[in-house]
Amino acid sequence: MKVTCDSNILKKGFHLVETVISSSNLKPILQNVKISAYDNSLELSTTDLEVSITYRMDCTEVLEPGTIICSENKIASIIKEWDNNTIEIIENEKVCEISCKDDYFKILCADPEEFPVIPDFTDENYVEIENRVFASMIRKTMFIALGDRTKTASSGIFFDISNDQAKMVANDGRRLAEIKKKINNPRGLTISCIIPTKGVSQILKILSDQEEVIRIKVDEKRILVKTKSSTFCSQLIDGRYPDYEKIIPSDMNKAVTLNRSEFSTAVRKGAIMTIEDYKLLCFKFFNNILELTCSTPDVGESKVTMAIEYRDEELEIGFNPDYILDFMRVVDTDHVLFELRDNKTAGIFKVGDDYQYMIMPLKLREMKN
Amino acid sequence: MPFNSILSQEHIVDYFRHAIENQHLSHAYIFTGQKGLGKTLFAKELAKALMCQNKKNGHCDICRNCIRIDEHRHPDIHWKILDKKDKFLKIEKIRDLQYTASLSAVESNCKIFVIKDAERMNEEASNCLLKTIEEPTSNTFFILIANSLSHLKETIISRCQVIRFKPIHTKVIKDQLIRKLNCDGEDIEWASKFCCGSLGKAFELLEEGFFKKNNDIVKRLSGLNAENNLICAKEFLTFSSGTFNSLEEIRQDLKNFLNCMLLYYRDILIFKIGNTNDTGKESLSLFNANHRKVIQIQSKRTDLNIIMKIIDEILLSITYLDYNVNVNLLIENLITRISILHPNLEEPEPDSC
Repeated sequence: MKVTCDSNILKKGFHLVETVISSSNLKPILQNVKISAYDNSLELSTTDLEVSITYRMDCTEVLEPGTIICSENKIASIIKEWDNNTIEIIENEKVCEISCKDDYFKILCADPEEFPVIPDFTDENYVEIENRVFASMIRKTMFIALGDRTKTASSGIFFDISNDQAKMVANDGRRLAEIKKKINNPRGLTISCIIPTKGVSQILKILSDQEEVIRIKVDEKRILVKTKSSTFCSQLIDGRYPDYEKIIPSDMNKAVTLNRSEFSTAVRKGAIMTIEDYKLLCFKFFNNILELTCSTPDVGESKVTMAIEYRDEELEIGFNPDYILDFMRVVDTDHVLFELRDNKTAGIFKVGDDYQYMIMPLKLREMKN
Repeated sequence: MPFNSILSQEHIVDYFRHAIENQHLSHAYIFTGQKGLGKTLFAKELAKALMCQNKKNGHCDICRNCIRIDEHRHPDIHWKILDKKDKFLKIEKIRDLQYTASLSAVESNCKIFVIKDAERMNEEASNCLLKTIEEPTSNTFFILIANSLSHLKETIISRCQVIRFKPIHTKVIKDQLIRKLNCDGEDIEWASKFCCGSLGKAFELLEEGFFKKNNDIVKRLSGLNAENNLICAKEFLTFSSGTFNSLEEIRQDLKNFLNCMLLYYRDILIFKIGNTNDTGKESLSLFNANHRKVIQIQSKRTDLNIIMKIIDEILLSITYLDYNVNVNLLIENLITRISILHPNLEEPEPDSC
């Protein structure tokens, strides 16, 4: 293999693919990057067997096509040192030589056969979704699914496409977010899968490319996402997503429209007196007033009131303020609708018709005295 | 045919051939039997049989999948191996396994998880595993390799099919040793007997030159007395802990060494009993046949009860070795006790070999 390439472009490529490389050194081959050159383009691929990324650069000159596998860390460190230079990469008998201006490096390569197969995006049976839409769907759900790797089926994001609607759902057992968007689905594909959290956060990274439309393809084992320059692939989580629709309460008889920034400020103020082990904020709705109280043993008390439009019967209900603030951070409208029934039923925040966020209430202690 | 390299385990090979043909594989197996019977090898062979690209005649050993399985590099076969310096298989490894098990397979249609030394899982790890093998995802196979079932949790055993590996016949082992090492000598004869049906152990014994060590041990034991006992213990400790650093490795080595002692006294005991019965012919063969003369002298000199007591002491020390005891003290203690029980006041006879 023999190629020449601009160092800035290479740098960008390595910056993207190195995010996948796992820190564990159980399988040393996974610390490597696969560089393949053909048809005047250079491809970088990395994988940790759960997710993989391929980044394609067109502005290269391929003098001799070929493939090499070598240590990602080493090459990336070399390339980071140069700005606006042309780098030449030559492979010869499993030795990779990199030269630029006055510098020269020689890296020992691994056998390409040892590198796991990285699935290719074949141009069939895919769905096109606007980059912006897909990214916002991920952002509005994945903040819940971060963390717990042991609850298998719930640890990922449920992604579902049927007819012309795309849906993403995430839950952590205490709260649930669901977002639906209209998409173009001329082929009438149906997709239903659970994407692991790691995969979802990686997708967000490749979406930062300035592009309009991305292509998504799902088969039995994996999801592939293709943008203009990169292809991303993530293994899926085996198993069925819990039948979440059943647990969303439907007969809500109280509703209040809240101003997002005012409400967030009130909750944030109320939450000052909570501590890590005791996250309970009591919400009292009555006579156009929302009263937030919190009383933490050994710490102190708080009471915050804000004016709202509320004429239904009085309701006192407890929530974890962090869960509300998490949600408020991803909302991008000025007003949210908050639906409630009683203090044993979950509360549902609704933004437009397509985004809802349900949180389970907390049991209130006897506050009197 | 598949499983050709598996020796003396026809019942298992037959069972799996049928299970694969009729697609009746269970989702979890426990391979049990002493060390070195080919349990790990069999797990590999089974993985090959399931994943080989040219499946028609069992497996081929030359396709990309087979090669990668051999080299522990296949992305859908996950090996959980006890670190040499660790005493227990810890929960982190099992948690890791749990997460990987929830993902779909990378290249093949199925995932295989092999847990070596499964009996060394600690309480937390076992409980964690339990949940995973209880509700397996489709096309996931678990193979637990355990030297004995007694340390595995009942709840795990009940969720798996237990496959028992039999000891390999001495003659088969000897043939294998001769073929693989391309030589035939006293040490091969000795190793094939001494390994108690475990081919892996036989190789290990030969590799470490244990035949010489054994001769050394026998020589020293026969010359043991109340004066040189501590020197003797120190010598034993230095040659067994030689180049190793970790306590766990020293323990394993001392176990081998205590086994040598045990078998030496077993030989003396057999001689003693054989002599009193006066059958003329030997019904049981000696492990230390090359030291027949020494054993004969020792068995004449020692009382039956004392031999039994010494054997009890050694057995006790072997069990203590698994606890967190100071190994130096343990060995010193054992040697001293033996030297008291079994005073060698006279000069030992010259060694026969």
